[in-house]
Amino acid sequence: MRRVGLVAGLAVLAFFAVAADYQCKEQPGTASCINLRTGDGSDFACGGGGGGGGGGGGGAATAVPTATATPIPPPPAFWQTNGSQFSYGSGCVDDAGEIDPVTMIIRRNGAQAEQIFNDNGITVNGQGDQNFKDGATCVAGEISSATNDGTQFCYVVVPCAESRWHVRCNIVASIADPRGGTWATCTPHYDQEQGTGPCWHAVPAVFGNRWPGLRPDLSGFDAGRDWFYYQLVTVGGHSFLGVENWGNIRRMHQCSEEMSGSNGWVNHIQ
Amino acid sequence: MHRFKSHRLRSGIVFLGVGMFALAFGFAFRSAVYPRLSPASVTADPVTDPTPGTGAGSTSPSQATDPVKCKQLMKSFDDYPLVWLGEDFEGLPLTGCEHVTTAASSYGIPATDHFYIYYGTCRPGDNEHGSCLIPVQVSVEPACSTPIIEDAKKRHFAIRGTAASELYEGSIQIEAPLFKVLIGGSGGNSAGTAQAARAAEVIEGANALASQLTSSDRFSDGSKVKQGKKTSC
Repeated sequence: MRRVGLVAGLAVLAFFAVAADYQCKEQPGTASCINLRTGDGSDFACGGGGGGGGGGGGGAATAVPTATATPIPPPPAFWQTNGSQFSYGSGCVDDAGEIDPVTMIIRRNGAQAEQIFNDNGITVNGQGDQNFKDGATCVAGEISSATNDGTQFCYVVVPCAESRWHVRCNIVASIADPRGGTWATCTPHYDQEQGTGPCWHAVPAVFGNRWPGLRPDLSGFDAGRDWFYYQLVTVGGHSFLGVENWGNIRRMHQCSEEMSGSNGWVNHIQ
Repeated sequence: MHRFKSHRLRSGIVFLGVGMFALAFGFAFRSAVYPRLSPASVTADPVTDPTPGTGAGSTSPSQATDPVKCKQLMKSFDDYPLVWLGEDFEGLPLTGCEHVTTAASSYGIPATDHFYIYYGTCRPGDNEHGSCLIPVQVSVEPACSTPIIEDAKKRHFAIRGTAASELYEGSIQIEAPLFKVLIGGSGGNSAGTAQAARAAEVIEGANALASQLTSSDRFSDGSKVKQGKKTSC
């Protein structure tokens, strides 16, 4: 009888050991992390989310009801005025105007963004060919990273060899994070190979079923935002700090003749 | 002795069996609530599981790429009041429109709903990315949608008696009693913003819910528009 008790006890322990792993990974992305700010308004605060990826702590541990994540309260100065809402063509004012919407911020660890991507299988492919607004200055983006492993898409979409998850970032020099470190403003998206030049890549208006698990109703820009969330937060263990509505919803005419854009929401990841 | 060994063997087997069952159950529990996202496993969505009742799965249900169909699409739209710039604006013809919705994500992004109206065309460049910006875009959304954060707004002013704001990327947003409208002009510069401001002055109703709204009316005059089917976001 004592043995049966011991066995049952071990079984219960084994169950909770496995389930606890879920709890630790899931918590930074739960609604308790959304749209909360510390008392001085300087940062998001997670309901107990831990740091990750060399990022340090995830904020004050505050018990928050999860059902009240929206609507967003009016924020104090947080995003500030220095970063881009889009990436741009040369000079940030040319005929091309906006190119890709910014939908992801790497907070505090912006200077290490390239390494963070690399650690999560999104490798460097140059410095990109787009510009960002950094304060009053138009600067060239420093980072361009992509999966560059298009073969993984071949099982659903043809042509596929060069389709990829891609992100360009600007390490924002003019913003000092209240907690230290720098920010990077990023434009994650999915590039669908078009098979022939000059239109080599286009961002789909509707992502569809290209990647099981991602919601098909999103555009290639919003799918990119969600895929990077998954890759960096859910898998990579980085802290998820929250979301904001920036309203950068203008849609771009892609060379595939689709109109594609974001729904205007931005993730903050540390 | 033999009986003792047999008893220990049975206990060991039971121990192993229960332990393996517990581990399997634990992993199954974790997989159910924290599934992996990979090409090899088609599972529930851990990133964007839609919230029940938020229009999950709906996607661009309507789109028109010519003016005639676009006008028909707008006229039949009854979710919320629609506004437009007429059949052309500053020489730019109406070239298309579409209704785009996305469901809520599981990590805090709410459902979104926009009706886009395009004026003019552009030709995507031959650069790596291959995209361009349509000269003028009008995006209408229901008044209940989540506000844009204040920090994304460069300045506030009034257009046609109604609070408006200029976003840093150059668009102008007006918040009317039953709808919001975001107007983007050509390019990401002050000329684009000025064009958007001129467009705001000539906006008028595009569907039955806003048919009374003319370019001489204040946006804030609630008597000019009617509530549509969409009463919550």
